[in-house]
Parts: sequence; structure tokens; C-alpha cells
Amino acid sequence: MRMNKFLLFLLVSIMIIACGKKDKVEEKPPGIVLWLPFGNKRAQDIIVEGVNEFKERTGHSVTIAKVPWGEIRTKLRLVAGTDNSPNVVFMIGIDMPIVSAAMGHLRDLREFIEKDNFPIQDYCKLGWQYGAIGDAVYSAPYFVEVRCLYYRKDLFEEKGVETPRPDWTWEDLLEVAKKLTDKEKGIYGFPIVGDPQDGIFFYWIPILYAYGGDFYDKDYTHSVFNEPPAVESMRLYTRFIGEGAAPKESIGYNIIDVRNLFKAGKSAMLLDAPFMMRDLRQSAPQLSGKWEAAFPPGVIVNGKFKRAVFCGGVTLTIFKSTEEEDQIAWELIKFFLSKEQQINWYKLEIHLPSNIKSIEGVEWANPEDSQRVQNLFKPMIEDGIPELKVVFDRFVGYELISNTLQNIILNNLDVQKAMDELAEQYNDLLETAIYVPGRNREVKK
Amino acid sequence: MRKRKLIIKDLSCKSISLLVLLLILAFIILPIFWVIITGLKTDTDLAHVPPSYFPSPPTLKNFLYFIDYGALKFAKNSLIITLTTVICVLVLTLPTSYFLSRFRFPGRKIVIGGLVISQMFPGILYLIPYYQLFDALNLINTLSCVTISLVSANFSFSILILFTFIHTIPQEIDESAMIDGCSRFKALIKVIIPAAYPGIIAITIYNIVISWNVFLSAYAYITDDAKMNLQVALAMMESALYNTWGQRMAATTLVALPIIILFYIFQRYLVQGLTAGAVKE
Amino acid sequence: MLLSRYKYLRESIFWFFLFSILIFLILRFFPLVYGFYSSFFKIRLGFGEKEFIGLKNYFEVLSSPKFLYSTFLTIIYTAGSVFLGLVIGFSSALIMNSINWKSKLLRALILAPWVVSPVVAAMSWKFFLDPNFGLFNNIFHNLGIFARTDVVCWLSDKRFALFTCIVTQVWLIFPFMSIMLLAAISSIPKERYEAARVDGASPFQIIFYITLPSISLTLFFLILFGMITCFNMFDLVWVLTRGGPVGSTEVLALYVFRTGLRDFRIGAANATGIIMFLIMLVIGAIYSKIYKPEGVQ
Repeated sequence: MRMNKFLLFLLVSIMIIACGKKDKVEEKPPGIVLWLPFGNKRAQDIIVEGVNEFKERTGHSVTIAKVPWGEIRTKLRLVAGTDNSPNVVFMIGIDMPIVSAAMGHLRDLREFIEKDNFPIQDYCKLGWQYGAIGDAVYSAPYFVEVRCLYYRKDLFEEKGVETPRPDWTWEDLLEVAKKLTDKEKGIYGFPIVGDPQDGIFFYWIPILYAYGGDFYDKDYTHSVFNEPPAVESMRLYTRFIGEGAAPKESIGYNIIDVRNLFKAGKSAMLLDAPFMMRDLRQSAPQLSGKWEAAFPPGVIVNGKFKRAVFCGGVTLTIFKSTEEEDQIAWELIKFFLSKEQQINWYKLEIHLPSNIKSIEGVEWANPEDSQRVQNLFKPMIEDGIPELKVVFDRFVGYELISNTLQNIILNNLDVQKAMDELAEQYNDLLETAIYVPGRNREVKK
Repeated sequence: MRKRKLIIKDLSCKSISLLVLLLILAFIILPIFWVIITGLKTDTDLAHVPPSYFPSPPTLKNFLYFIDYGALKFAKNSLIITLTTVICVLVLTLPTSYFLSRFRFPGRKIVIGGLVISQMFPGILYLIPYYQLFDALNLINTLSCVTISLVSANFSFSILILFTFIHTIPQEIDESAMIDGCSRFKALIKVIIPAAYPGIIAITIYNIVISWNVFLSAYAYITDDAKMNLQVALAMMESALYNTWGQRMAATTLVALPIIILFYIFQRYLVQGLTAGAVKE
Repeated sequence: MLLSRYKYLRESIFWFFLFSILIFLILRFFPLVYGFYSSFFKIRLGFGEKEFIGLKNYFEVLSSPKFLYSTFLTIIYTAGSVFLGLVIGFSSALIMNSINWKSKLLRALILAPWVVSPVVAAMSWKFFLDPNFGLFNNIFHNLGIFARTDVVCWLSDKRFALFTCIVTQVWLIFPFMSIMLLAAISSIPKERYEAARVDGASPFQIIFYITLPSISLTLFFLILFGMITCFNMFDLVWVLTRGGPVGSTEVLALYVFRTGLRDFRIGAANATGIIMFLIMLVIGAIYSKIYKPEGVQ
């Protein structure tokens, strides 16, 4: 009798626990799995619509999983190679494809490209380069991200300062920024960005490359951060704070902070992507007519004017699974790279699609903005440079740069000394990198 | 003369106390106030340095954004996790703490000691072994992993609190119930539970709070955004680059609201349950 | 005689107890054992490597400057939060005791931070302390304490980040301490105060010689609870700073998370977790030896 009572309780509790597991019983769905990291709901909607169209047209089944950018790197490491592995993933072009490729998770796309005679030259060549190891190609470019200079016309007019010219150098910008600064009103000419989460990448690294500096030497044996071009670029960057064009707390600002400051009228200039235009029109209508976009400045090196523009972007990759699924995955990628889909993406007014030719004749909602895209952003993509190829945790690397910045500003460390230290730290990073071009070393640890 | 000095001393003591209390209340309330206010501001209003103290005009747009973003879906997940955890914990810990209190079996002290020590285990240490375990059981990306890790985390605390409550109920009560013809289980249900109900409610509420607020397990084990709970969704908003602070603050308010309402209704029990241990020396 | 000692075995509830304890052991102790076991291996997730290396993980971790710095930060964080939390909690408990408050709303207000999740608290404080758009800096500007041109970055300046985390942690835990202390203080028998007042003791003397010793058991548990919570805290610091401006808020829990799920060195991460646990044990043991409250067994 007692035993029965006990068994009854056992049964009840197991049932209750099993209730919590009811959502576990799902088989892996047929077809392929697409990982969608976009945080912007409009972008998500466009992709979902596109996928639905793809499903109708081809009859293949595609399951979408939303994995935000902040989590996708970790999740990929955890599931790649297991049953939960995705098939197609949107990746931040610069570092993610190489990591996954170096770990052997990605499918080489050359076979598909050759078989279909895919016109890769129509697309921004950087996207294909991002995911290239040797001759193998692991990533297909979806959209390209490039940044221009935005400035507040009203603040320029107030101070009677000349507006940005296409042949501006960073020194010119610094001088103008100093004139625009009004400490009492809390207005600064050009608050720099010191935050390692992408801030350093968008603001300082273009300057580094414009000066001819780089992270490592050609053969990736040691870091060249302590050589004159890199040191000069860091010196210029810190001069913004040193000479008053940026506030001291700039070293802690991230790209969202400076955007908010620009909108609030506390910052006269900003480096940002095409989507900022739409953002300004929608969320800051009080600023209409008060801002303008221009080419970002360059540097005069050896008598020649050089402007280094970063092209970031998002690419599509295929994770190795079965031959059949890989084929479906390639169909999906081709679909996303097709003219209509690229135009759909362009119409979101966030970034430019990788098939730049496709946007000819396509207009944004606001004709002025369309003009800006055609005149400023489009030409810059043609000159774009990809970032370094060595792969370690990108953000660890940026944190080191951010640290150097803080050392120089807060601790008054000499710029050359600080860059010597930084070069040392980057040498150490080389030791633990997952992938080094030319050497393709495995990690020692 | 002496009396006046005492009164002055008393008054100044009281005013300093009030001032300190006000400062402490400000410390608590100001961030909450700021969160709610920011959530009500329009985008234009947000683009001001220095920020305004009150939104003009106030708008519910940011709150609607979060609901559109999927708040109801996330809330459903949080609710499932919470209910399952609470039921599991109660079912497991009630009989266990009853048994622990009533019988002096060999090894009892070890069990109690083990329960106490297990509270000190760092939650982060479970992250990876649990991940590998769930992966082997093919439970990754389900709500059950979060439930299981929550049950494991709350188990010992719940048992210990219930134990102290049940222990104060004299054994004669269940003995007399059994003499009247109940079995042990019946005694448990009919006698002990009603007697120890402040403790039980305290544990229930404690478990609800912990489950609703769980972050690390949900963050690490769940990839699919359809299965995220509210806290993880909120943290994701922070790392996405397309939200404004207004939207994030509105989301923060909505995430905190249910638990604060619940707490307001049941605070008496929670406080009673937890401070009972402090008062009994 | 012997039979009565084992009479529990005849109870059916015993089997349920056994079942529960078994589940507890599996869920709570087994992962530790497994973590301990895998800390002797070099495991790299994604590469499929698993190599036995004995104690090498432990040596590497213990000698790594990042780990030592992280431990140092965690100790400061724990000590600072517990101490500040107790000071503020104790003061508010004393005040509430003397003012004799009884409002349900007031109590809910004071306890609110405790039920709010660390994620919510982190988001709130993050914006509250925003250098330009946050309320805190603006209040202090308007009060004239900071100059307008002297904006302080509370969370992105490596000098202040850890302190800011401590303040947010205190915001989260002091209400709980305050209520527990209030319960304890209000249960101190009035005669002790009377006796002290008759002897002409000053308020400070009363606090130190009567109040504190009487609540020492509660204090003991609060400090222990506070230490455990703060030492293992992940959620709050992660959402606030993600390891902070150049690692200045990388407390141990974050260090383990990063080693395990960002660098993917699973063996080292488990080793660090075990080391954390041992540190906690040692601190706990030392603490109970030093602080022997009245009435503890």
C-alpha cells in the first residue's frame, strides 16, 4: 500500500518534469537551416520574405534561426560539426569566415562558382577575398559597409568654418574640428571613438591604413605597430583630445554615443554608414537641412593623397553538411545575390549591396540621399581595403588598442613607447592565432 | 536645561536619520525613475544633452516596439521556465525536507552539511559540464536545460529553508495525525503543509524570482531566439546596434514589471519566510 | 532497539527522499566531478582535440597574470560590495527601526532592487550613468559638483569601472541585508537598551556594544551570503561592462566564461572554476574560524 503511494508520487513528478521537456521532441527539420543575425527588424523581414519566395520558387525547405551578432561567434564554435550545425550563415565578412574556414567547417565555393559560371566580377571583390584561404573561396559577399563623414552644416556656419572638401586631410579636419569646439556649450568638433567594440575599427584603423601603417609585416612575422606610419596615425588620433577637438571622455565613447551626440548637437562631425541618413530623417527630423555628408579625409603620404576606406560587410557562407544540402545552400546564396534581392536590400537604406551595378537607377525614398549614395558611398567601395587576415579574437585585439589609447591619454604615456608596447602585445597574439596566412599554423595551446 | 539639550540632540539625531534615509531612498529610486522616464521619451526628446527630466510629450512608442520585437513570446518562455522550475522544486523538496527533519538516520549531518556546502559552488563552474551533458542528451536549445540548471541551483536553499520551518513544527502534530489513521504522506499534506505555509510561500516566491531572472543558463544554452527568455532578450537588445536608449529602457521596464508587481502583492510572505531564520536565535 | 533506529527504512517516504538526494547528487555534484576530470585535459571545442595533460592546466592558470589580476579584481569587488552593502543596509535598518515605519509601499520600494534581475539592474545603471545622457551626471552638474566640461565616464574609464560595478552590486544586495538586519535588530530585547541607557552610554557605544553583538549571527550569515553571491557574480558585470574597459572589470566568473566560450579552452576553464571553488572554500573556512558569532554551533 505504501509502495503504491510512493510509486504514484514518483510517476507524478516524472510526468511534471517530462512536461517541461515537451518542446524537446523535434527532429531536425528537412531542408536547410539559415542563421540570421540581423538585429534590425526591417532587415530581418526582408530576409524572411526573400526566403519565403525562395521556398515557393524552388520547393526547398529553409528554416530560419535568429542568432544575434553578439552571440553568433560563440554559438558557431559550439555547434559547428554537430547536429545543430547551420547550413547557411550570414557572417561579418572580416573575421568570421576565416575562423570557420580555418577550423575546417566551411564549404569551398569555387566548385559551385565554376559550375554555374557565376559572375563574381559583378560583386564587390572584397567580399570574395574576405573568406579566401590560399585559392579557396569560402564566402560570398552580400552587402558592403562603408563609412563617410557626416557634418552639421549649422554648426559649421555658426563658426564660419569652411565645409569639408574631397581632398581634405586628417590634419585639415583636426584644424577645423578645433575651431568648431565650444567648450562652454559642450560642443566638440570631432569626438573620437575609443571603445573596442567596433569603435576602434571604424575610426582609427582607416587612419592607420591611410598613413600606410598596418598590423603586421607582409610575411606576418612581427607586428609593425611601432613603425613610423602606425605611430603617426596614433599620434594624430590622440591629438584630437590633446588639442581640444574631442573631449577627454572620448576614449570611452562607442559608435552609438557619438551618433547620439551628433543628433544632440554636441558633436559637429561623425563617421558613419549610409543608414545614418535614414536614421537622421526618421529619428531627428528637427535636424533636416542641418547636416550633410562628405568624403572622409585622407592623408598625404610621399606627396600623394591617399584615402583608406574600410569596406566591412556581411557575407554568406556554407557549412559543410551533405552534398544535397550544400547544393540547396548554394541555390539560396545565388538567390540572395540575385539582382532583385540585392535591390531589395538596397531599398532598406542601411548599407549598399555587394552588386553595386544593380543599384543604378534605383532610388531611395529621399532623392538627396540617393544622390549622396551615388556620389559618395559608391565610389568609395571601389577603393576599399579589407582588414588584416590573421585571425585571433578580433575584439581582444581592439581592446589592446583601446588600452593603448587610454594609456596615452590618461597616463600621458609617450606615443612611441605606447605603440612599442602594443606591437609587443600583437606579437604575442600572433602566437595564439588560429590562422596566419602563409603559415596556416595551428594554435599551440 | 539637560532636558532641552537632550531634545536638541534627539531632534538633530532624527533629522540626520531622515536625511540619510532620504539619500538611501534616492539611491534606490532615481535609477528606476530614470528608466521609466526614458522609456516614455520620443526619439527627438532623447537627442538632447543635457537630457530633460520629463518627457514632453510622453509616448508609448518604445514600449510597443518591445512588444512588437517579441516580448510576448519571450514572456511565455520565461513563464514556462518559472512554472516548471517551481513545481519541480516544490515536489522534490517538500518530502525531502520533511524526511530530513523527522528522522535521524545515520549520515543526516553529512547530508545537511553537503546541502550547505553545495550553495557555495560557483554557478559558472556548471556552465561547461552542463553544456556537454545537455549536448549528449540532445537537450541543447530547449527550455529544459534552463529548468534543470535552475532546479539544481535552487534545490539546496529551498530544502534548507523548508527544513528550518518544518523543524519548528513539533513532531507530536504529525504523530497525532497518524494515530488518527493517516499515512505519512497524508500527514505531510494535511498537517505539515498548512502549518509551514509561510515557508512554502517564501520558497515559492524565491524560486519564481530566481527563475524569472535567470540569465547565464538561458544565454549559454539557447540559440534559437524563439526560445529566449526575457532577460536574455533584454541583454541582446543592449548589444544590437539599432536600438535607441528609449527602446532599451522601455524594454527594461516591461521586463522588470511583472516581478515587481508579484513582489508587491506577496512581500509579506517573502519577508516573513526569510527573516524567520534571522529572528530565531 | 536496533530496529527502531532503522525504522525510517520502512517509510515509503524514504524512497522519495533517496530519489531526491540522488537527483541532487547528479545535478549538483556530478558536474563538478566531471569538470574536475576534464580539467586535466586540453580540450579545444570545434577542433575535436582532447589530450591528457595532467595538472598543466592548473599550473598555466595559476601562473597567468590575467588570472591573478582577475582574482585580485574579484576580491576587491566582493569585499567592496559586501562591506558597502552592510554599511548601508545596517544604517537603513537602524533608521527604519527607530522611525518605526510600517508602510507596505515603503517596504516594497526599499526591497525592489532585490527582486529585479541583475540584467535589468545593469541596463538601468548603464544608462543612468551614461556620461552625456544619464541622469546621474546631470544631477551633479546641476548641483555644481562637476563642471559641465568635466564629464566622467563611469563605465568606460578604466579607473572607475570596477567601483561602478560595486555600486550597482550594492544597489542589488543591500535591501535584502537591510530587511534581514531590521528583523534581527527589532528582535533585540528592550531590556538591554534600557540597561545601557541607565548606565549613560552614548548612541555609538550602544551600537557597538549592544546592537552589533546581538545580531552577530545574522551578520555572520549575511556576510557569508554576500561573499558567495558577489564572488560568483556573472550576470551583472557581464551586462554592465562585458569585462570592462580593457579588462578592468574582468572578475573571475567572466574570466571563466571567456576562457571557456570565447577562447574555447574548455580544460582551462574547468580548472579555473575548480580553483574558484577552492578559493571560496578557503575563504569560507578562514571566515568561520575568525568570526565566531554568539550562539553558533
